[in-house]
Order: sequence, then structure tokens, then C-alpha cells
Amino acid sequence: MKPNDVPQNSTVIKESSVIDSQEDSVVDAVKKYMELIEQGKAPSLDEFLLKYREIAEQLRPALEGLALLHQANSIPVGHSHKESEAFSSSKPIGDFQIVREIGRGGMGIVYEAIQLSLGRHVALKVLPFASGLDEVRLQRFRNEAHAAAGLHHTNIVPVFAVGVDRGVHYYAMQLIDGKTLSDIIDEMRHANSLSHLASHQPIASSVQTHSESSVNLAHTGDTSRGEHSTVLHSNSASRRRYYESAVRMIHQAALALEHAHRYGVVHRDIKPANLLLDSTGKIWVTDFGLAQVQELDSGLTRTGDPIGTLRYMSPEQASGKKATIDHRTDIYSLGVTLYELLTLHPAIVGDGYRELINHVAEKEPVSPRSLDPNLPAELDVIIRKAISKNPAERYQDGQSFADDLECWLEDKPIQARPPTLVESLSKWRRRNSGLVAVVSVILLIATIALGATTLLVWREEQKTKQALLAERKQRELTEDNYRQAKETVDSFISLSESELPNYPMEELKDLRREFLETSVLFYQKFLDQRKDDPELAGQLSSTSLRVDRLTSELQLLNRILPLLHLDNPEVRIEVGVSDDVADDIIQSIESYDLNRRNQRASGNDDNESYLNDFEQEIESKLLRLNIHQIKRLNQIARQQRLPFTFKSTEIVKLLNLTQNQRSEINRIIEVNRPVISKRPFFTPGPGEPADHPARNQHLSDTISKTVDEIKQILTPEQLAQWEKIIGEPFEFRPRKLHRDYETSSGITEDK
Amino acid sequence: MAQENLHKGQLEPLIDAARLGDGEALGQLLIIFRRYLIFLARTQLHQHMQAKADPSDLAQEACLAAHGCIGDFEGSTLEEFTGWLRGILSNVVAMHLRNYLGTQKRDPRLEQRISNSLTNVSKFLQSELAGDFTSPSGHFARNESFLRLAEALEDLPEDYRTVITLRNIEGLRFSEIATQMDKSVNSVEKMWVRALSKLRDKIGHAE
Repeated sequence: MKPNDVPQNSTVIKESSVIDSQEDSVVDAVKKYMELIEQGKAPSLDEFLLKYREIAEQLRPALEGLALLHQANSIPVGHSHKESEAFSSSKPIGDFQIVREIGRGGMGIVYEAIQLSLGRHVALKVLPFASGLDEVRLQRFRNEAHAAAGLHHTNIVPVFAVGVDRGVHYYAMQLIDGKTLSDIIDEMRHANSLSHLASHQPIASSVQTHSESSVNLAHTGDTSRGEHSTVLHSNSASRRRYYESAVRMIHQAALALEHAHRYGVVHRDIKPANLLLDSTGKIWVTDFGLAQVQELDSGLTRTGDPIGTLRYMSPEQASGKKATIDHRTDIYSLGVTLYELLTLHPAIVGDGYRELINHVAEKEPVSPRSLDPNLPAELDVIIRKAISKNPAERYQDGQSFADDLECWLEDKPIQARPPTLVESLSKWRRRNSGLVAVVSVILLIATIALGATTLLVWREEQKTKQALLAERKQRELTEDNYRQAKETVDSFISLSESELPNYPMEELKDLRREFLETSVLFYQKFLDQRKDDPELAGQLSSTSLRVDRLTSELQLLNRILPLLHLDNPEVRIEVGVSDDVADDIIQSIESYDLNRRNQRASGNDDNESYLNDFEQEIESKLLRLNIHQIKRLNQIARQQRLPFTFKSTEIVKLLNLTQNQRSEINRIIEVNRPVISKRPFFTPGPGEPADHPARNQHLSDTISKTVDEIKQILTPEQLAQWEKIIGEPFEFRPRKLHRDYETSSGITEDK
Repeated sequence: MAQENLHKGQLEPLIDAARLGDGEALGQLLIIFRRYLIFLARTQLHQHMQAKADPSDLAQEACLAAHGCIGDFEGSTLEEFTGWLRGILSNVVAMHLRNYLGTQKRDPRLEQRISNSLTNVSKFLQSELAGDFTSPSGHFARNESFLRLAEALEDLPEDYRTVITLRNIEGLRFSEIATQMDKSVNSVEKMWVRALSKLRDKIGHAE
């Protein structure tokens, strides 16, 4: 025996190439089976394997190896053994005689069977329940399955019977001659050479396809095979037809969901594999009432979850908030399905179980349009509304989802709107993809800066050569410009070095403002000095226009941001603003944002007039606030941004901070920046769940320590000024639900 | 020829012949039992002496001893012959352990412990076996399949065999196995699953 015999068998090589996550689930499954063996409760190997159909191929040999060592019910040698053999030749299950296996479903095997009493062919799903399943939960499943069986809708696969016979749970439904959307998506990917995007599911779920009579898509309305295969490359007319046929499918499914939801049945496992397209082009939603089975069966860990189906799970499902799961989970999953159908890219991507779950719960998918630029903007908006992380931001029912899809089909205006400024700002807190926005702003500014500086240098050289304008004043100006340019470059570099590497949004938001403020300041000075130079004026006018716009927006942003805190009822109480006034202000900010977006969408880039109008509007709204209220709001806004408040242009100006003090402040912030926490210096703001009290405590300690250190480098005059600017500390009390606000906000009137 | 006998499930005639003094029959039997003995010896060594003693050597010693005292064997069934061989191996292992521990005195408790442990392992190989795993080809008699299993286990790469022994036979937890094997729990678990597949493979391919 060689002591370090290296496994060389091909099986091992094959296994080592299996992706890690899959191996992890295989390991978990084998461990589970071992535990069952040790408890003497092991189901037969085949029965156990039913639950892990996604990884069955990898799992089977290991389980058989295990069964060799411990007596288990079934130890076949070789791979010829099929579960179907267990049933097909045997007695009928209930009223159903199995004819053949037609697919491996998400939860069990689907057989074609004959209902003996009626002589009709049905699809019979045999459910993978382990023996000894807890009776209460089993009853819950039966209730739900029976409710689902009571649904009658033209787009829902009718359930004929739910029952149990000799310990085998089954679910009989109409046999649909068709293929699943999952098959169709895979085919399309194949045709568009996107096969690598195919999910890792080795076997399509709930397939009810007759292998001998594959669906002819040419007869299914607009979904002809030709359009399928060329959607990404084809001309706009056939692309449009493809989008329309896809939207029609989802439209039907949305109506089916609406029907089920009205009867209190939530599907909870909507995914392409559960949507069947029959040979007449009609969509059938299948497996109603079966989502329970998975939950029943795999308990808390859900280790058996095939990676592929996680993609369609809603954020509330992924985060395990069972109490908050309602019918809108189906809206989300259907939206994700539409996303994939239209773009052929899964909305949620990620490696492995954990990452996928995290992405479902937190990461905003890239917009469908960025994957397929030809996708009509309305569809992009519809999808993004349907797949909002927050259920309250989705379509609130299947009907409104269906209506918007129908509007699009009929070229009518849709109801959904792109997210507003306020929504974007609040989403910004939890989304990292905002980083992209920041980086693009920075890039834009950097480009302008570089272009302008180069131009400047070139100009100066020209002038020197001509030796016509070699006056003293000009030289001073040049030097001045050079110094300014250098300063800016220095700021860019120090900012990039100290701040850019993957910090969370909460800081980057400030960073962005800081960046804009710094850059804009520079260009304002620059333009100001140059405005009399006729030669440069022409060339710089476009730059100047952009800078003007940036300046206006920035000023506006600086004014709006403190006002947005009025969204929080506690702030309303603190500042003493009535709900009416506060709502009014918030509303006008929202409507401004909407207008601005519409303008931009219509290609009109000149938002100058809107800015002015809005400023006037805000001005008039602000008249309803007194100077103390505005002051307090500004103070709260500054407190919220600590310690970065010290870096804002406003404070730099008000305190008259020197360059040395500013770099010292940067240093102090860097030194105190928590290393481990992923969200350093983040005070929970309004609407933000104050989880992890310990961590928050630690953060606020860190912040006050940083602020104290910074205060020490201020002169006494600056310090006095600072205390005036920042005001009394205002603390958001941690609260969990938005509902709580309502009771407390009533008090505002009395104040 | 040994293989043939193994496949026909005709070990008992060999045992009879060996008991009656047929040296060649005993030789064949010992070849058939060799892997089984090695595996058993290994299970006694993994904790303390793996580095000091080679299980093959111990099995070899046991075989030599069996040659020397076949005359003492009075049984006739496979079960009895297996038990007799196991007893010899138990003595050999005990002797080595005494040397290893540096004690010359016989320690009845130690010997009892080894003997019990060997019996348990053997029982695991025999009684836990699913009776029909060899049935499709009929290569093994039902009561002989433990020899096949021992062979398959011995054929496994060392780490694979170790992890199966510790987990399935000794019943240790993965955390304990990880400590013993100086690996992470995760890698031990993965190795275990691969080992099981491999074991199944070995058995399957031997058809």
C-alpha cells in the first residue's frame, strides 16, 4: 500500500471540476443522509435523492457508497436503476396508473398516468416526502394544495386530485402539451450563443413535454422559432415581435396570478420552469400550492435548494422574513422571469448559494436595457418596478402588472415611473451600484479638468511664442492658473488615495458632493478670470455651460438634502413643522424630480428653466418655515453627516479652515475609520432599521471620538463658531416599522 | 484460482482442506483474507502507531502465525475461520502495542480491548453489509461479501480510507476527524463524500 496514493480515477477528476457550491450541497446532503441512518430513519436512497434532483448525479455515487457501509433500503449497482421502475410496473397509485416518466420536477418526478376511473391522461407528480413527516405541517400542505386545486382559470393548470396512497403523496393535474419558459430561454440562449448563461439546473423543472411531440413554436402566435433564434441580432421589426410575444406570455401569467391571489393562493415559486407554453401559444402556470413542499421537506437549512431556483426567489423570501411574504412575492418572481425572457440574462447572478441569496436580498440587478439596448424603455421601467426589492414599490397586484404590460402592447402610456430622486437617495443607502454613478461623475469632471488644463497650457504656450501678450498681468494669471490647476490635481489625488477604495455609499454620497464642490469651485474661479479673454471664451463656453449646470444642481442638492429629513416624523416634531407643510415640501421635491427626469428622457437637456421654477417653488414653500426651523434642519443634516461635515465646502468656508487643518482633519478621519465594519461612520437615519445596537453604539462612539479630536485642532474662535453651526445634538430614536411614525406624528399638531 | 474460489462463494471447502493439512488451500485462503486482515490491523493502528508499524506487516505476521497453528483450528464454517484469524491478528497487534508502549508485561485489559475492537470492526464489515449489493453478478456469496468490502476499502487512497474508517466505523464527529487528520472540517467532509463515491465505484467496477 502506497502511503500517499493519489486518486487518479476519472470519477475523482470529474468531481473535482464540479463547482464548489455544488460540492457543498452534496456534502450537506450526504451528511444529512448519514444522520438519518444513524437515527434509524433513513428513507430509501431513491426517495432521498428525489429531494436533491439538481445534484443527484453527484450525490448518487456517494450515497450508494454510504449505503454499502450501512444497511440501507436500496443499493443498486450500476446506473441503470430508475425510480420510475418502482412505480410503472406496479399497482396504480390511487386512481392513477403510471404510464411513463415525463420529467423530473422541482419537487418530485412527473409521470404521465391514466386516471383509471375516467380513462383520461394526466400528469402525476409524485412528491418527495420523507417518511415520518410531521403531521401538522403535512396538513398545512394538504390545505394549500386543496386551495390550489380549487382554482379555475384559463391560464392555471387544473389540479385534478391531491392525495396519498401507500405513503406516496401525489398531485394529479392536466397534462399540458408544451414546453416551459425555462426550456425556451435555454433554446434562445443557445441560438444566440449565450449558452454559458444557462442555469446550472441539469434537468428542467416540471417538464411536461411529450418528447415525441415537441411543440412547434411556429404555430404559437408571434413566437416563431425564427424570431426566437435571432432576437439579439435581428432587425427591429422582428425584435419588436419577440418582445411583444414575451410580454403577452407574462401578461397571461400575471392575470393567472391575479386570479389566484384573489382566492388567497400565493404561488411562491414562480419561475420560468413553472410557466408552460402550450402549442396554441397559451401560458399555463403550474405547481400552485407546491412551494410548501420544499419548505416542508428541507427544513430550515434548505440545503437542497437547487441553485437555479434561487434566482427567482423574492428578496423577502431570501431574507427569510416569512411573515412579510405575501402575494407580491409572485409579482417579483414574475418580473424576474420577464427580465430573463427579454434579455436572456438572469436578473440575479452570483456564485454559490450565499452570494446568490445576498444578491437577491440586496443587490439591485443591472437595468434590463443595459443588457439589451434595443429593449423599449417602457419595458425596462415596468420590469424594474416589478422587481423592486421593497414589495411596496412593486405593482401591488397582478392586475396592475398585467395592465401596464397591456398598455405597452397597445402603445398606451404605462403607469410605472422611473424611481424619483427621493427614492433614489434612500435606495442609495443600501445599494453599492451607486458607486458606478459616483465614478462616472468623477470621470466626467476629470475629463473636463484634463481637457481644460491641456487647452490652457497650449494656449499659454502659443501666447508666449507670439510674445504679443507677454505682459506682467498675463504672467501672473498664468501662474495663478497653474497654481490652481496644481491645487486641483492635488485635491484629486489626495481624495482618490484616501477615499475612493470601496467605501460604502453613505460616505461616497458625501464624497461626491465634496468632489463636485471642489471641482466646481475651481472652474468658477477659472472661468471668472478668463471671462474677458475673447479667444478662450468661445472654446470654453461649453465647459462653462456644464459647470454652470453642475453648480446649480449642486446648490439645489445642498438645499434639498436638509429638507429631505422632513420625511422623518421625528424630525418634524423636533423642528416643529406640521405634517401638511412637511408633506407639501417633500411632494414638491418629488414632483420636481419627476419633471426633471421626464425632460431628460425626452431628450431635452436644458433643465435651467425647471431649476429656476423649482427654486422659486421651494423658496415659496420655505416661507412657511421660519428661520429657526431652517437652521435646525440644517443642523440636523450636518449632524447626520458627521464626521464628514468637517470636509464640506460649507464648513470649510464658515470656519475658515486652513489647508493644514483640512489635511489634519482628513488624517484624523482616516485614523479613526473603523477597519472591520463594512459601514463605517454610518448613523442610522430615518427609516433605517437600527439593527445591531452594539455596533451602532460602537459607531457613534467612534464618531464622537473623531469629532472630539478634530475639535482639538480648531482655534477657540473656530470652535465657538462650530458649536453654533452644529447646534444641539439630535438623535433618531431607533425604530422598526414605518407604522410607528403615524401615532407619533399626530402630536406635531399640538406643538 | 483464488479469485475463482472467491467468486464462487466456495470458501468453506477450502477451509476444510486447510484444516486437514492442505497447505496450498490455506495459502489461498490467506491470500483472500489478506486485505481483510490489513484493514482490520489498520483500524487498530491509526491512533498511536501508524508511523511505527505497517498494517501489511502485521497482517503478514498473522498469516505466518496462522500457518504455524492451523492445527489448532477446529471449526469448519467461514464464520469460525474468520474469528480464528481475527484472534491471531489480535494477539499480533497486542504484541506490537506492548513493544510500542515499552511494556513487556502482558495486559489482559489491553488484549481484551483489541480483541473487542477487532470484532466490532469485523462485525461492521459483515453485519452492516447490505446483503444484496453483490447479487446482480452473483460473484460473492452473501456471507463472503465483507471480504469484498474490505478489499475495496483497502484499495482506497489512504486519506479516503482513513476518513471512512473514522466516520463510519469509529463514529467520530467531523470536527474530531479534522483534528486527527490535521485538515479543515470542510475539506474532511468533502473528502468523505469523495471517498464514499470512490468506494461505490470500486465495488461497482469489480463486477
